[in-house]
Order: sequence, then C-alpha cells, then structure tokens
Amino acid sequence: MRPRSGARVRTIPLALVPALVLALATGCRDTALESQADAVCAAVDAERFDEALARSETGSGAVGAGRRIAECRCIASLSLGDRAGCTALLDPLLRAPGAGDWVPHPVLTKLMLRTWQAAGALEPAAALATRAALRHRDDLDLLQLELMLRSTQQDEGALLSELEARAGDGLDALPQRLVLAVAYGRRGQHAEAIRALGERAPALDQPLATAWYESRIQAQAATGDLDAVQRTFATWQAAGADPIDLAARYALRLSTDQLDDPQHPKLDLLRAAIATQDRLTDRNIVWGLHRRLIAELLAAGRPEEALAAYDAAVDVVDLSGVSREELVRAVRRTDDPPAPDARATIVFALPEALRGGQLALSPDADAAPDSAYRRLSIADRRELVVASRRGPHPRRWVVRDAEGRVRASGSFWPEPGETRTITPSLRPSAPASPRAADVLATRGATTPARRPGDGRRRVIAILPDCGDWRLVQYLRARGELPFHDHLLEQGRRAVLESRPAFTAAALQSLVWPARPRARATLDWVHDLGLELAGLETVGSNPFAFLGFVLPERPNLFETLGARSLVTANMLLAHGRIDAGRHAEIVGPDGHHRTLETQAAYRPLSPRELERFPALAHDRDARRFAETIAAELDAALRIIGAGEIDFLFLRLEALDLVTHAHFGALDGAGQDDGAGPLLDTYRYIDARLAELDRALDRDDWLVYLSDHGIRSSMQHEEDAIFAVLGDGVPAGRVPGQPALRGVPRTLAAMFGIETDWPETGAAPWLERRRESARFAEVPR
Amino acid sequence: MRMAKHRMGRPRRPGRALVARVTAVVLIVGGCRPAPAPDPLDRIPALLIEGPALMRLLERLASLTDTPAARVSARLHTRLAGCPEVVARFPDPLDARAPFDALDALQCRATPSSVVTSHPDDAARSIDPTVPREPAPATRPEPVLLARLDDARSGHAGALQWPIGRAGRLALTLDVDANGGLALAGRLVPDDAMGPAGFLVPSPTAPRPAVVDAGSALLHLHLRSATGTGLARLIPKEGQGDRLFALKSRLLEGALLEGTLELALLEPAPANAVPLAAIVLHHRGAAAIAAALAEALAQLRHTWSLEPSPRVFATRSGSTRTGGCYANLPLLPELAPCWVVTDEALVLGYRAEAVAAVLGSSTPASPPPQRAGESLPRVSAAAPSDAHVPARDTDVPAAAPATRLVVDLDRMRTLDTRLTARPVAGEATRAARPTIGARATRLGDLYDRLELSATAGADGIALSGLLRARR
Repeated sequence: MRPRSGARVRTIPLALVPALVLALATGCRDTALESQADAVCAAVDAERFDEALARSETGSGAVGAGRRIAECRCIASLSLGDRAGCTALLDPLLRAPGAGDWVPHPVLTKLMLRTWQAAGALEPAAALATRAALRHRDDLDLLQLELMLRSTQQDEGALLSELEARAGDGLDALPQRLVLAVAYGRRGQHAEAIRALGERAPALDQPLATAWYESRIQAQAATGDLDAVQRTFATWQAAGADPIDLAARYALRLSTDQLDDPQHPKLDLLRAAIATQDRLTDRNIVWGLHRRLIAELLAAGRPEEALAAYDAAVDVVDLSGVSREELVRAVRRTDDPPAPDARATIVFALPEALRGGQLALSPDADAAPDSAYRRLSIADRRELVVASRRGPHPRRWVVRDAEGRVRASGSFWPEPGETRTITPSLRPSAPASPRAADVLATRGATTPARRPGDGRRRVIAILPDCGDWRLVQYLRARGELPFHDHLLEQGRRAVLESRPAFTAAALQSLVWPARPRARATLDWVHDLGLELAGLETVGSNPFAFLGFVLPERPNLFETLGARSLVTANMLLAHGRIDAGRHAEIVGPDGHHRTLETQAAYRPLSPRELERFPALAHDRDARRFAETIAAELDAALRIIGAGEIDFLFLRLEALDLVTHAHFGALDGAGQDDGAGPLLDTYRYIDARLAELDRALDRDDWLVYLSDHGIRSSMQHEEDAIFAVLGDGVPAGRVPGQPALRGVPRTLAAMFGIETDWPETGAAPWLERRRESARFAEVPR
Repeated sequence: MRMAKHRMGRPRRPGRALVARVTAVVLIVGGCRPAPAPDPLDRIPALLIEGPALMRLLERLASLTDTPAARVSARLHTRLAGCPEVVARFPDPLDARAPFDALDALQCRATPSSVVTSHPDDAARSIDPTVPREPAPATRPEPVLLARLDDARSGHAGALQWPIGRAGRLALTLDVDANGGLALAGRLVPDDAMGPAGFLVPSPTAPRPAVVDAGSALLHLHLRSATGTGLARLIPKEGQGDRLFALKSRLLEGALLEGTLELALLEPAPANAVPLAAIVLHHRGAAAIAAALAEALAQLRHTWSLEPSPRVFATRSGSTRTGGCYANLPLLPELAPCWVVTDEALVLGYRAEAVAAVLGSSTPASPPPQRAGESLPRVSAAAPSDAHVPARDTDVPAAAPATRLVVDLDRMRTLDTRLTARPVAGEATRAARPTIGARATRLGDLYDRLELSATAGADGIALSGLLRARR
C-alpha cells in the first residue's frame, strides 16, 4: 500500500509544480506590490510627493495592489501640478481588460471622466461613470457625469428612467432627484421632472428644501401652469416659508417664465418685491428682480422707466451685461429720433499693412438688414472718412488687406455731429477669406452637392432662435459663413417682420396659423379636466375622451400630416411656448406618435472645439453649443432615416448665448468676430452645410428665425427667412412680409392649400401653386 | 412604494376593501355560482355592425367641424362606403395616447354571414394557438368570433363586446336610426380590476330620490355605487388631494354617507363662462356630516390660511340653510366653491350659484327610481338597420332607473350659442379675427339628448342608452 501511496504522493507534487511555482511567484509579487503600494501611499499621506513618485516608477497596474500604486502616484503627480502625467498613467490602466471593476478615488475618477470627455473618449468614460456612480451614490458630480456621458451612448430617456428608479423616493434620495429633475427639464419633460422630484415636500429645515420647491415651481412654470405654480407657492407658505421671500420668488418666476397672473401685473409684482429687497436674504433674487424689471420695462416699451430702474439698481446689484448706454439709446429712439440728415463723421485711420485693401461697412440706419456691406477701396489712403446716421443698431466694419485677408473688424455707435476716429488694431494675417461662392466652387468638402432627387419633396426647416440678420451679415462680410452665402445667394430670402418679437408669439403664429377656438360647454369641461390633471392624485385629464368631439384648432403639423405626409415637431414647445408637442411625429393620416428620444446634449468633438474654440468660452457657452450639436445631430439622423417629410427644428440655445454675449458686439469697438456668440453662428453654418449635403435635390431647406436681437435685453422685430432647393427662384422677397404668413408658405411647399394668413413670404409658391407631383406622393 | 408607483404612472390598484365590495357585488349578481372559466372569445374587443347603419352614424359625426371625430368618421366613411357589414377586432390594450386610432381596425366584412357556415375546425383554429393556421391580419376577426358577434347581434344593427379588467365583459347591441341617432342595450359584467371606474358600477339597491332637478341641468348623474360609500378610498393616503384639500378626511368616509351620489353640471353664473359643477352626497345624518365638514374645513384653513365666508341658501321647501363659500379660489377659472348641508345631503358647488340651483329650484326633484331591472325602452328590433330612437322627451320613461346619466345636449346648444359669442381670451387685441367654433357644428347641433342607464341584475349590469339625433 505504501509504495503505491508513496507513488501517488510523488506524482501529485510533480503535476502541481508549475502551478505552485506560479502561485508562489505571484504571491511574492503581490506581497511585494502591496508593500510598495503601502510605501507609495504612505508617502502621499505624508505629503512627500517626490518620494511617492520615486517609489512608484514601476508597479502601477490595472489589478490588485497595482491600482493603489497608480492612484497614489497619480495623486502625487496632481499635487505637484502634473495633471497630464496623472491622466496619462490612468488612461491605459482604466481601459485595460482587468479594470472592469476598478473605481479610483472619486477625485481621480472625475478627473478621468472629464479628460476622456474632452478627448471624445466617450465609451470608456461612460463605462467608468456607470460603475463609479453606483459606488458613490451620494456624489452628485458623479451622477451628473454619468448622466452626461452615458446619454452619449444610450437612449437618454431610458437612462433617466433607470437613474430615477435607482435613486428611490426617500428623502435621502432628494439630491439625486433634484439632478434628475434638472435633466428632465433640459429635455423639456417637465411633467417627468415633477414626477422625479416627488410629491412629498421636504421639511423647510432640510438643506435642499428650497431647491425642491424651486425646481417644482420651475417645472410647473415651464408647462405654463400658473395654477400649479400658485398651489406650490401656497404649500410652501403653508409649510412656514417667509411670505416676503416667496412674493419675491413669485414675481421673479412669473417674469423669467413669462407667465401672466391676471390679478397681478408682472411689473407691479417686481416693483413690490424690490421694495422689500432689504428683507430678502437671497441676494441672487434681488439681483434677478432688478434685471427682470429692467427687461420687462424695455419689453413693454417704457425705456425711460427702464433707465430709471437701472439707475436705482446699479448701486445695489451687479448689472454687468446690461449697459446704461443701450438704455439711453432706447430712450433716445423714443424721445429724440435723430434728424434724417444728422450724421456722425467716422475717420478710419488705416495702418500701412492695409494698403490696397478694403473697408466694408454695414448698411446705414434705414437700409434693410440683409443689405450688403458697402465696400470701400483703401488703395494707398491712410484715412477713410465716412458719414453715418444713428439708427437702432451699431454700424459694423471689416477691414481686409490687399490679399483679401480679414485683419480687423468691429462696431461703433455713430453720434450725430461728432467725429470719431477708429484705428484698427491689425490681427496676424489669417489665410485669405474669399467669398463663399468661390469657396464652394473650389472646395469639395463644403460644396453642398446634393444627391439626385427622388421625386419626393422633403422640407427641413431649421429655426435658429434669435437668429439675427445683422450678425449674419457681419460674419458674411468677414467671409465666415460660406453656407449662409450659398443659402442666401442661391436661395430665396426675405426679411420677415416678427411682431411682437418674442419666441412664444412667433412660434404660436407659426404652429397655430388658424384662428383661435371659442370655448363652448364641453370645451370648458375638457379644459377643466386639464386643470385637474395637474393634481398628482388625478394625473391625467379625466375628460380627455371629450376631445374626440371637440373642435381642434388645426396646427401646422396636423394639417401637413393629415394625409400622406409625416411631420416631426422639434420646436421645444413647453409651457409658455404653445407650439404643439415637442418630439412628436404627426402623420401619415393624422396619426400621432413620439419621436425617438433625443439626447439633450452632445459633447463637442475635439475637431469642433479646434475649429470653434470660443464655444468652450465658459461653461454655459459650452452647454449651449452642446445642445445645438445634439439638435443638429438629431436632424441629420432624421434626414438620414428618410421617413419624415417635414421637420421643424428650433435651435433654442442660440437665444441664450445671444443674450449672454451680445453686449460685447453691441457697438463696443473692435471685436474681430471673436467670442462664443459668433462662433455659434459659424458652427451652425458648418452644420447647416452638413445637413444640406444630406438632402437630395427635391428637398427644400428652410432657414428662419423667430426674431433678431437689438440689445442684450431686447429682441429685434426682423427675422431671417430663406429657402434653398431646386425650383426655388434665387432672389429676395420684396418688402417685409409678416412671419405669420410662413405656415401657409410651408404648406404650399407641399402643394397643400390653406386659408391661413398670406403675407407674401413666398409669392412664387402662391403664383405657381406648386406642382401636384409633390403634393401627395404615394408612399 | 405606493407613491412611487403612482408617480411612475402605473395603474392604481383599488384598495382591498374596494375590491372586496366589487367582488361581493359580482358574486351577488352572479347568484354566488362559481365563476365559469372565461371564454377566450369573450376577451377579444370586437365589433360587428351593418354597413348602412354605421354609414349613417359616420355621416353625422363627420359634420362635427374640425374635430377628430369628423376626421376619423370621414376617413372611415370613404374607406367603408358600400360595405354590407363592417367588422373589427380592436387592439388590446388600446394605445392610451391615441385610443381612437383603434377605429382603423374597422373593415369590410366581404361575405356577410359566411362564417356561420364555415368549417367547424375554424373554431378550434382560432381559439387553440397550437392548431396550425394561416396568419391572419392582426385586426381581422376570426370566423368563430364573427359567428359569436352574429349571434350577439340578435337582430340589431350591431354588436360590440369588450373585455373589462381581468374577467369582466361589456356586451352591447347597437342600432342607428335614419338620422344617425344611436341606441344601445346590453350587459356589463364588472370586474374587480376596474380601478376607479369601478365606482360607477351601480349597487343593486336603488339610490335615494335625486335632489338635483335633472330637467334644469346640462348633465346629471344619479348613482348609488356598488363599491359603497367610501369615496375616501379612491383618494391616495397622504396624496396631494388629501394633504391640500382634506379629501381623505372623515367627511368622505362611508360611515357618514348614505351612498347615493349626484353629479350635476349647471349653466354658468350670469356673466361667467365656466359651467358649474355640483356634487350632492346623500348622508346618513346631518349633524354627523356637519361635524365632519367642520373638521375638513379646519384642515383646509390650516393648509391654505383661507377663511370661508358664511352663506345662506334657500331650500326648495322655503327654509334656509347656512353653508359657506371660499371667495375666488384661484385654483380653477371662476372657482369660488360653496357648500351646504341639508336634511338629505351635503351639497358642494363650484360656485354659490351651483348650490343655489340645486337647492332652490322650484322644479320638483326627479321622481323616485323604478325597480331594478327596468331600463329605457329598447329600440325596435324589427327593423334594426333603420331603428327608431325616441324622438321626444315624452318618449323617455318618466321613472329613472337605478343609475342614470342624462346629458341635455339641447340645453347645451343654447348655452354654447352664448358662450361662443364671447371674445376669446388674448384675442381682443387682434382686430376682427373671428374665432372658429362660433359657427361650427357641435355635438349639440347633431344630437339633443344622451341618456345612459345601468341597473344591477342577476347576471350583471343591464345597460341601455340612447344618443338622440336631431331631425
């Protein structure tokens, strides 16, 4: 027995020798790495960062103690200011196959997530964000990063639902639910935002109680539900909140969300709240009240009072971004219109480097906003003198050198009777900026070469919110909007009159061109059901079924989608903006359904950031650009999918970036076309070219804005309109047709006749009654 | 967790007690027999109707200006014109966002009654999924289902069946008169998964005589619910309604309420536009309900810091009762809710005018209900395709059945003429922009009365109704 047994004993070790050797070796290595990791991290703890780096020259890895060495080394690098060294170390390790369960310290995780995001490495970033957020559930930064990064990789709506379910509904999940509510709000899903916040108000002594109430009120206001807003304020007050503070918040909310309380005019509410400013503890509210009062007074056509409000506020709150000069100009426009022949003298003192170049000057005050810039040859002159009248807009100038390169540009306010000297400070010569037509003719990459037509017309309408003729013309004069050049020169353009110059009014007239509906008995019952639906315990309109027998006010989408056409509404309608239902498809045969969910943001690619660096000027500007990127991506997807005949897409963020950054372009001197606002125009131009290339020759591209911009606080009443496509006669529509005529034009593009207002936006369509071949193409 | 489910939009489940009550009623009306296994065919939402009858209905609805009903009706009329019979197997469940899209399932039945002679194996094929069969269009009813509907139609113009909850069922026969008027009769087998709609299932016990004069209302619902008197059960605990409006207070508990409920819609107050709702909750004792009301008002006072104003209302008998009102509560347009407790009921009104109209009318209240089982007269079965729907008020039975809904579309039309002549809010500054709807054809222009009645019986709830067309 023994020998046999001994033989067995002998054979087993022999078989296991390689494994044991490997195990022992690994174990020794593990032990050694553990010791090394302890030493490195101890050095970091003792803030001996150089020693930590010296001890961690080797040993970093994606598994085991290698992770600790890497993390501690990384912290040491960061502590010594070597951020790049840290991220370069972690990047490959976190991508390694064995790193699937590794969540570095939150600081390092966030660093890597932001680094990857900036570099466009979204897939590994999303994966790390997912596991990190699970590990650190209370870290709101990580939750926001997870949301942002994962939404680039998957359906954002489904992701929000997942995160909402994960957050739970206890009070301890309130921070997460606030983040989710913000995310829903960004997508225009305000009902979902309210749901995510939950019904139960936190007690006022909870740190996030104010945020909860404000978020709820914001979502309710965004849906235009004044009653709901008032109910929440009432609940807030019933819970013990300070009535004075609440009155101020109420005034501010109504103003920012453009809600009208029939009992209390906004101006009265704002003034009453400002009268209590000494008792308001939140200075942001005081700041907002003053700014909103100025804006409301301007919008109400009461510039003198706006100026007085400015003067009263300027020593109380920071009014940067609002210039007294623009208010003074607004007063002057009302009280002291300049005599028609009252002119300012502008002397351009031209450096030698501009010899043989050209000065381009924006049209005089009474010219149409789409008028071309007046071009003055510099030749060998050192001075050019021009006379200029004062108008509601600054005059803009662009100088080019003899090679056609833009060397400087800016704007000024002419003051009648005064002489002003402008000495351009020349920028390094950039490559020549030839006219766009030449660019398009020679550069295949930007040539809008469309595919042959397929006999079916699609109309893709892009609405840049606050898209301004004068800024477009300025950038065209700088040679920086090649696609706009193509669109406006090859297509049909018009300067629309948009009055009142508010997005809500413009969109309502675009989407609801038919006359308003009178309420009869069943309408009232149905509409009271809508009010009841605002109650959480009711949830949906109990009288919704009545809608079947109640007259509708046919909107643009329902009219176009009533038969064979399929329309998509991406106008970001919400609350005060009554523009149908966002992300809804209507048609064919009037069927309604929901558009595939779209991401609210899309991180800008490194190439985009390189081409348009000012889009990353600040956090907000970047956010705005990311919104526009996501929206135009969605448009491209929709065009590519081919189902939609009519897409109406609003680039809402342009309005926000305009109000934030127009001040620097409002006659403030030389600007050289810099800044996030103008880079946003350039970005949109590039993306429009991309969209146009995705169309075929039967498709028409419509580009229109809802209003322009007059000052950082005031909209302009003229708006852009342009149509491009085969069969569209090039040229300009005479006069200034009203924007409300556009829906009829859009319908006519499909051969659909309506009795909607005709304002002459596209007279060629009215005359020709577009061919039947596009009217009802069998699908 | 319950709150979370609600917020996520999942269907609310009725409380256990509610389920138990509905179940009890189902058992009672079913004679306590063990429930037979449901026939799969009964679970299919389907319709069979004579083509000409449907066309008459569609023609009438197609004239409702700018309505989805008109759009759908016109589309169906074009598509189904000339069909001797029309059938549909509807999707189940319906698309909640566009329930009327289900009407697209309507299609011509090419060979009327051919299914009756179809091969017996068809039945097995259509019921037993293991039996191989030809793929059928999703909405085309199988022959065996058509045979079932043929039987159910029983000489009427049409038959509709619809599953209710998990095991309940609605079965109706339909007739359409020459003017497009609609008459229906049939039976509802309720189910314990009907949710809040279960509240509308009538009790076998007749309700008390109505307080509201149905003859002066735009709409009048007179009901004793099978689910009992516990209205409060319908309101989620600590929900918004409870916290803000004290709806779950003792006021609505079954112990105080008798069970009869009336809901009325009355003409707007002079110079106002919103039709006035009134709710009449019959109680067991005025003192107890007044005490519970005081508690609820105290809670409202605490929540809203609002003080009601006392208000005296005259009753029909000439006496007065003191109730109260909240003046101009800005929750809903023109809302100034009022209440009063009478010997019979707690009356709640959208405004004081609503309470006054309920109490002060010189018109006698509706007569007492007739016995369970009686209903509106059935439309003649002799000529189903040209059936007669009662044309004058005198054709309507004088006594109301157990549960009854009456919508006076004639009165509504008169009111609509006034309402639609008013300027539209926000449009005053738009010079001379006429509004649509002012001259539009509305429901009241096509039909003058809608009546529905429901009576609990031995084998379910007997239903009858009519939508009477103007000539």
